[in-house]
Amino acid sequence: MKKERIISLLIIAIITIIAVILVIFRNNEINLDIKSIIISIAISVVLVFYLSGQMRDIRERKHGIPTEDEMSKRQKEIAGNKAFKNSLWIWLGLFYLKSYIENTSTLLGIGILSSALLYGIYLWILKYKGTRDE
Amino acid sequence: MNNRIKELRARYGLTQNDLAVQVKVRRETIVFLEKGKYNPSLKLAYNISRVFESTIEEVFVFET
Repeated sequence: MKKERIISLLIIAIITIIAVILVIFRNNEINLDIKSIIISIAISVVLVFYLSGQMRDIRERKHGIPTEDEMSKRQKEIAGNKAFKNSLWIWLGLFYLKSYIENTSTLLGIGILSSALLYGIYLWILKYKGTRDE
Repeated sequence: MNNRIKELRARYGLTQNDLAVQVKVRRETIVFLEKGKYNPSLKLAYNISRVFESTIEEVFVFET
């Protein structure tokens, strides 16, 4: 695991532990459900990747390495296009499933998270496979 | 499209990082170019060819 990711993970873990301890001391009870835990973990994972990316960018900028070039821009462009196109199907599916989902915020949250996840997956695939055949 | 970047780099004694700095791209771009996973823009192809004092056709081999 890269150094930046480890440091970001540690920072997030420390902040999460401190926040949980503060909540426990304040409320004097533990009242966590599975949904809250899953959301907290998902947010933490996103923050880890975001922070490690930012730390890498800062370090590279210090050494005069460009943080973006034509290839990275092309990868983001293609990933964005594919994610947008396919997320429309997700939104259509969510529309048909709306009667099974408790409230609008949950529906919107699932849609937004799925779209973001789709973008991340396509970007990861392109960073591994390259854009030669795109 | 194939290319002779790795071969020319070795001849000129350049690392991937050296070439990336000279043509102002990230090292990953040079890695992907050498592996054939990325087709460069005309501008990048021209800049790389200039580093190796060659023409674009001498560096990049277009498949027919």
